[in-house]
Amino acid sequence: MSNDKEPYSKKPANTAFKQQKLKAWEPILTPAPVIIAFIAIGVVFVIIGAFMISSTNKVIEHTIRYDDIPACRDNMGIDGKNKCDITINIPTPMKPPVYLYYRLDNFYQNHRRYVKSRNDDQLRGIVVTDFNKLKDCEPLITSDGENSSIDKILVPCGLIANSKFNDTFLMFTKNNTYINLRKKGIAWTSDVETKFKDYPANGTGIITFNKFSDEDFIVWMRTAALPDFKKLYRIYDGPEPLTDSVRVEITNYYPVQSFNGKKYVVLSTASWMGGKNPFLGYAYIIVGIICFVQGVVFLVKHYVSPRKMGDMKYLDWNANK
Amino acid sequence: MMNSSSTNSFRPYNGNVEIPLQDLQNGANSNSNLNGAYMNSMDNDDDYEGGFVQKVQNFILRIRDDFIGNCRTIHINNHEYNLLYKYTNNYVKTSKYSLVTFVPLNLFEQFCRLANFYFLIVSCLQLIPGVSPTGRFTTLGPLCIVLTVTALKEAYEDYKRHKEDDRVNYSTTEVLRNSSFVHVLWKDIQVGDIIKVYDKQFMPADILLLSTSEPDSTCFVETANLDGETNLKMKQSLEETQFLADDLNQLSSFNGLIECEHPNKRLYSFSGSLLMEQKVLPISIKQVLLRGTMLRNTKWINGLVLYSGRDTKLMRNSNTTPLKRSQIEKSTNHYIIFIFFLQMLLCTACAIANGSWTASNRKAFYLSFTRSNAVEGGMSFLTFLILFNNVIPISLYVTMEIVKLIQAYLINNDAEMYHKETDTPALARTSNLNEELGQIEYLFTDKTGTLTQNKMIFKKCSIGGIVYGNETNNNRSSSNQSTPATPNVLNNLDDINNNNTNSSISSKLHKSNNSVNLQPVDFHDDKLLSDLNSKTDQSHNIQEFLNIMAVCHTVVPEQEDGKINYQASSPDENALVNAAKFFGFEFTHRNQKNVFLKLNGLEDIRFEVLQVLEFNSERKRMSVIVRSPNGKLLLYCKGADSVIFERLAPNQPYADVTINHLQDFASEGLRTLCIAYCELDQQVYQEWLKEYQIASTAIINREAEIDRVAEIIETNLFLLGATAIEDKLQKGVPEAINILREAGIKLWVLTGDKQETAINIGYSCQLLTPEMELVIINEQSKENTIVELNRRLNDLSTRSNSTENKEQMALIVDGNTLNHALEGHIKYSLLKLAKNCSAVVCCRVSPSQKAQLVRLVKDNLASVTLAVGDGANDVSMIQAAHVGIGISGEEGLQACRSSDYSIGQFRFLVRLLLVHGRYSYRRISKLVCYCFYKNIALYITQFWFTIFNGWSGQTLYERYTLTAYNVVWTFFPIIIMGIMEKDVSESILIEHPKLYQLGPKKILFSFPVFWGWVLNGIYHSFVFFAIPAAASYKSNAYSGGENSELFAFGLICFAAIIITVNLKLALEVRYWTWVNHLATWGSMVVFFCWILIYGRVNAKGIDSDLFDVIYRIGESAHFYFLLLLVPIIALWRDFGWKFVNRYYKPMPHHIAQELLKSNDSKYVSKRTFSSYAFDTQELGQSD
Repeated sequence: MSNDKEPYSKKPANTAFKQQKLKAWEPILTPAPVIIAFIAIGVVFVIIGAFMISSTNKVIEHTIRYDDIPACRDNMGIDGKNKCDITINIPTPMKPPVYLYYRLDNFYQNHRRYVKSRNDDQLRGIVVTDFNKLKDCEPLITSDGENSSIDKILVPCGLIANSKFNDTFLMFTKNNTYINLRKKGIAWTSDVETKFKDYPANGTGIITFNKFSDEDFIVWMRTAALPDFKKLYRIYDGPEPLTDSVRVEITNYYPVQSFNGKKYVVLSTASWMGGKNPFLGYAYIIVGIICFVQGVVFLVKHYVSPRKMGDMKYLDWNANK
Repeated sequence: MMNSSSTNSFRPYNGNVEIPLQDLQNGANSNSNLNGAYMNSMDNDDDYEGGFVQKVQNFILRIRDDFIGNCRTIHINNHEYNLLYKYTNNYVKTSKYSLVTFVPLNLFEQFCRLANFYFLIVSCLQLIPGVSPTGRFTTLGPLCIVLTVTALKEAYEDYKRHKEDDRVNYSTTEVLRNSSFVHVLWKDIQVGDIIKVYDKQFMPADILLLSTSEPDSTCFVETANLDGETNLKMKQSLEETQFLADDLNQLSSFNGLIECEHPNKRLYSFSGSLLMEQKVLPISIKQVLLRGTMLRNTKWINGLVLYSGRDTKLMRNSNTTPLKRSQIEKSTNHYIIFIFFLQMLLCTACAIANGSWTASNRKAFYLSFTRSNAVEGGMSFLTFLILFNNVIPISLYVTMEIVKLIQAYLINNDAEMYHKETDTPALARTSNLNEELGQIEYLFTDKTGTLTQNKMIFKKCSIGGIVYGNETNNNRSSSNQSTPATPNVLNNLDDINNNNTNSSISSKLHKSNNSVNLQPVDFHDDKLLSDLNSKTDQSHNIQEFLNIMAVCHTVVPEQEDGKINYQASSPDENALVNAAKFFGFEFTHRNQKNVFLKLNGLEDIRFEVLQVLEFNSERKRMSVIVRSPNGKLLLYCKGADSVIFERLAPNQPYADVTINHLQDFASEGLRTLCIAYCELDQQVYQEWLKEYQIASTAIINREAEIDRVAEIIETNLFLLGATAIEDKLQKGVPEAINILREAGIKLWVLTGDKQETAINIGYSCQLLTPEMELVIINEQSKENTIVELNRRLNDLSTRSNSTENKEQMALIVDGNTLNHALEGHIKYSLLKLAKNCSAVVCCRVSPSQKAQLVRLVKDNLASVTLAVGDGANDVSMIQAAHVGIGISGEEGLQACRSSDYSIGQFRFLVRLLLVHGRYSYRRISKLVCYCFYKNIALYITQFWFTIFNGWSGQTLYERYTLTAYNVVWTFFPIIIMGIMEKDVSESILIEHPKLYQLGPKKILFSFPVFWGWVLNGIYHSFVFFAIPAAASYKSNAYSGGENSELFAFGLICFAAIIITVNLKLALEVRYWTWVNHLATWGSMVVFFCWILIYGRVNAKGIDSDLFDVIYRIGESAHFYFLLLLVPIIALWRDFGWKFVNRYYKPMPHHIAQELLKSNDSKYVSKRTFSSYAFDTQELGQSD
């Protein structure tokens, strides 16, 4: 109950924030900028799209399915009969670098059960014996499925590592000369350098494989986003372009029938936009055209039946009813 | 002591309260039944959505209050004996938590909020190993942040309460212990203690006054903390205890027993009795000093503690305001439930799909399924529940709470709603209802003190059939008022002037709201004084009339430097007493038995006051029984004409002519009171007195008994005449009403005044215009009311057929009619009729009828109601309406305390509704929709993805980045928009009140609008998934030949979402301050910084899913072209749609924006909105 307050002590302070008078930019969608924006987006997008398509068109890609070739079927790999050949015709020469991929269809590398089934520490070459930490590797933690003995820990553990694609490919020219392919560099350098390290050969557990720095392994461990995916296998560095046709000799181990999968070999060059995927280019062109047309329609409409800005008759709520 | 705590925690009048005196000016002409109203509001207490916790607390209180026996017994000076009763100590606790209980109690309270509980369950589910697709803490993290923010707010508020409690509990007072007064902490004071309180000290408990320093053992108290009234009230101890004085021996040997009622919240009544020396003495509220009141103008008092601690009436009244929720919040809660069911449906569908997918892919060796299909499916349900849990936005409530708090802060700090004269800024007592202010369709307003100033000025009177004060010489120059006839009057006038300047100083000192500028008398007629001196019958009439004005009241005079300040609880009484003084009948002082007058400044006369039959709004009159200086036994009575005329003796000489005068007065908008008296027979009086004494000692139903007995003696009155008092309109009321009406708000004026007065005020404040047809319904019986209502309705329907403008009708109903019209089904007819009228005036309504009318509209129309009022009789209406607004005016603070917002003047309502309300409505609507949108846009992408990952519920997003979505990446821009956003400037909103209809028409928040946003979110989520997915189909490689992978893909989607969602908000923002820029662009920058930094983290123990990802995808053109394409495809719809709507189906606010844009400042300066000028002028600022 202090009565000594100065008069008007409760008067609010006159600051820009308190009086909601901060300076502001108040843009509104008037026809001119909107029409210009639409037409500009349209033009720019069509140009970008055309450019993209032209460059993606320059990419040469050959895809051959091989799991349906009788010799390459599942379970044909017993008794050394697991080799099969495919021939890729190359009408237009492919300039190096040319990339050799394998592709799997209907393989759900993005399945939740699959994606999480790995242990990053183990893959870093660290001996992990704490079952709690290995839990992510379920259902493949130990060989007997009972988390009792650390000697039975699977190395590597987890579904991803234990379902590694193990078909191998060799490439020959038409004349049956062996084409030298590069393996180094197919995986992300960061992965090679830091995320994957060989597991100690004398480390705990049942070691089925310990070369975690193997780039084929690393590529496999980077799970694909969608169920149809291709993975980089080898790189052809030239110097000569690939011409005519090449023969790919496949050592076939990997069964796909259990999940109705398909296996392919893909030979492709790349542009600055990456591999052959015209989608982005078409998307740009379509969006560009739509925006452009929309802009033109607005423009015409604006000239034919313009609405006066600030027309007081619309200040009535019933004006549109 | 209680001043600060009381403002937030304490609210009087929630219970069955006896009528405070200051209701005279409202109730004098009204039909009020306050008791009923308060009973209603009390009964309703439990119905309010008070939250579970509160219900539990109430329940516990009720158990604790299971008092034993019929009454409380206190043994004076017998400490040991009193202990047996285990009365509560005087420790007062307003805080909710202690250090120990804070965490559990606060958490419990927060989890009572359904959404929080839901997220808690989800968080628990996430902790089950193997179930969560997004790690363990994606929900728990944000939930903890949300809970912490709320808890911190609570903790701070409770800390303040603790400090306040300590200050109170550890102050000291003098208590009689072992025959001497010693200082004792307040918390240690016991029931039955005798204590001593000095001038300007607060009462530590409810005490019985025993003796005081003043003659006659009187004392004065200020009750501002209790009920907001600033006038002093006189209390007086029983004659039988006066001998105690300050004598320690007497006090410590004082012996007796007190029986009184159990603790209750009734501030204005008390029943008890004191048993001493074989006598039973009645104790009433007159002898009780309540905790929270301050002793004034009295050196000391001795008292006996009756109630302590939480049993005191102050604490009994400290209920929290009933919790009101806004329409938007209620709908939001419904939508949440709806979304929740949709989400359950989605989860179930996905779980079924998961089961069947598992069945057909069982043999896929790489997945090594171990569990059965059904178990897989079942478990995946939980997975999906977690995956989609944030479709219900976790941050919604906390965002909303923060935004609303700041909005309330802006309301409190609005300089244009600051009333300089009374130094009152606007005050948002709740922040829950900000947006509700923007949706008002029906406005119920009290008249007196709300539309008018409640500063009563004595203007005219009718005495003995002659009207005085009717002269036309309105020399209104305040310095030179009309020359008075006699020097006496001149002196008196000066006195009044001095008095007022004096009281203006003292009022400041006393923090009084009393008038500074206005004289309580504005009377220009010499005839009255000449007639008074004429020695005729009329002279006698005038003398008696003035006697009554000077004697029949409850005003307390306060002597200060030889001047007298009148402490009146009612402005009417103040005006009357001052008028009597003006005419030479100066009321100088009073004691328990006498009232002293000074005639013409010379002659002292004394009226012995035998009984005071006090005013209440049921009685609508007040009487005193006095023995006049010449020994006659007289009953003086003043009251509303309706009650006085009923009680007149037959053959009144002046009745008819007075009725005419009353009507004249009323049609000028003046308030009238009838003045009557009668001479009593000694014998009759004595007999009546016996009955009265029985009634006044009754413990049960004492008030009703007293009323009944008073009724008996107030008969056979002789009517002398009537007074007319002017209550001036507040500044800017007609303009404000005009604007509000233009804004499409329907105004109902609910007043206790007479019909003529009400209609007249209606015209002068432009609620009624000459073009309007007045539909007056004034029926006495139920049947007639029905017939009349139906006739009017038929009229209406035939008229609307003939396409005549039906808007121009005003409905006038009076309280009597309402008695019938509010019953049963009749009320629907009334409502139908009222709906078609542009203005409604209800006269002579009681407080409970006010509340009934509000509920009638609230319950039967889908409209938001607002009630404005300033007095205790408006409390029930204020609580009943969706939004209650209190005018902090002359009548104390009761209305404000129970209101949701309080303002200084009626005209500020315009700004509160049209500017703050509309802004808040827009801000909150957008905020709620956007919060849902952004979560749906993010989380439904997970659904699209799950179609392509074998219905397994794999997340696309990295867990920590995902966790921060709602609390960092998209948190700030929406808060800033919730605080700063304006679509059109304040001045335009006031100039074009129609823009207000945005809220009432539910343009920005309704079922279709909300689901529009949801669908938009779904569309966006589809774009967010489909475009990147198509672009990386078959793991399209980057330029270096490497493949895309899961988390790279996810990160592209996520980055596109962050950009789009922030840009989407940018499209909604119309008012870009630098803060908006900072928040919008800053959020995106911070996000990219995060992924750049996080992309470098690769440490043991961390699942570094995003390690290096941004650097890999950042090398490809692919990434940037997607980031450009996705937002444009998504926002193309929003942008195009906005433009098409604006251009071809413009809303008024679009036009207003264009107006402002097209000729900017020129336009504004051209019309400085005459209607609004008053506000800008007042502040001396121009817009």
